[in-house]
Formats: sequence, structure tokens, C-alpha cells
Amino acid sequence: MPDAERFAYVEIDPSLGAASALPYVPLRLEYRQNVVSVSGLVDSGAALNVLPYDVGLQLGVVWQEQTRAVRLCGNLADSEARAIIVTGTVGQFAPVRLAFAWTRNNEVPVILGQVNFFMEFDICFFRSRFTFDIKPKESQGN
Amino acid sequence: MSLSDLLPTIQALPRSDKLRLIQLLAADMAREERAVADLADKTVPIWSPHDAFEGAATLLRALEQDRGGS
Repeated sequence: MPDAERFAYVEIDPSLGAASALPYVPLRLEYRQNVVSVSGLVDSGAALNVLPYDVGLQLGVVWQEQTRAVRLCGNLADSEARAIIVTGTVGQFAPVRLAFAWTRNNEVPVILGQVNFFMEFDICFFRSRFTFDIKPKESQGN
Repeated sequence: MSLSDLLPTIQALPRSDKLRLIQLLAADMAREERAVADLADKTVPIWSPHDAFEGAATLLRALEQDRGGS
């Protein structure tokens, strides 16, 4: 069982300092030999993973080929989204399959939510110390 | 380490260091409060699709189908 890797919160707005710190994790996404490095917001309040439109295009995903519509809500309710599956790698851990709601929206960050980022990784937040730990889920049999 | 652990050390400091400590703590607290006040003036978008359970179910089905197809 690999050890957890520790990541630091990122201050989004330097003028606000700690008030704008969010848990962003560097992430490598791969789709049919195309690779894109992004920072994903580890968001325990999000029901699902969300991928902005441009990142999907950089991965070579073709909108018209994605037939599974995904219904979003909140700020994203007006943006059409399709389900896509890519390979994601965090730190030194083994790659995992990540399902994303690929949205037409480009304002949204890469969101890593309950389905299925939190189903693949165990995550522990230490907001008071501006760090969070991630490690792959433990197999049910262990 | 608690305040009661620190107090004897703080009380033993020379007067100039005590003044410096007061200034440091005051500046630290002011910075925290300013950050909160600045945040109150800003519009912060909340992107989290926190109720998108139907969409989440769609993704789970997509993963299952992908697993079956690969």
C-alpha cells in the first residue's frame, strides 16, 4: 500500500492570501495518447468530476462523438455536458480511470468530485496547515 | 504547545522583545481580518455541482460500460 502524498493549498488571489487558499492538485490526464497536465480542485462538495471545454479539446476529445449527456446544476446548469472517461495520474500513484462531465463552459476549473475522484483516492484535508494528503483507495479485500 | 506552556517564556522576555511580540501578533490578526473583509466585498463563483446526482449516476454508468467494453 503506497504512502499518502502531501500537497499544499494554492492561494488563488495573492491580495487575499489565506482567505483564497484552495486544495488544487497537479494532475496528468491522458486520452488516446494525448496528454495534458492540469491543476484540479479537490472538491468534496462536488457530486462529480467536471472538465472545462478547452481541456477536453486539448486532449483531442471530439464533442460530437460523445453521446452520453450529463445534467449539471448550480452555476453550470446552463452549460451542456457530456460524459467522457480519461486516464488520470496523481503524483507517483498508478493511473486510474476518471469519468468527467465535459462541459461547454470554460470558466469552471477542473473539479475533482465524489464520482469518481473520491472513489479512487482517500483524501485528508489539513486546512489549518494548508496541506492535504492523497493516497489510492485500499482494496476491499485488504 | 498551549498558551500556559508559553507564558513563562514570554514573561521572561526583555521589555523590547515583549513589545515586538505585541506588534507581530497585532499585525498578524489585522492581516487575517483584512483578508476576510476583502473577501466580503468580492463576488466568488461557486462552481461545485453539489446536487448533480443524476449526472453522477450517468458517469458511473459510463465507467461500467467502459469497463465492460475494454
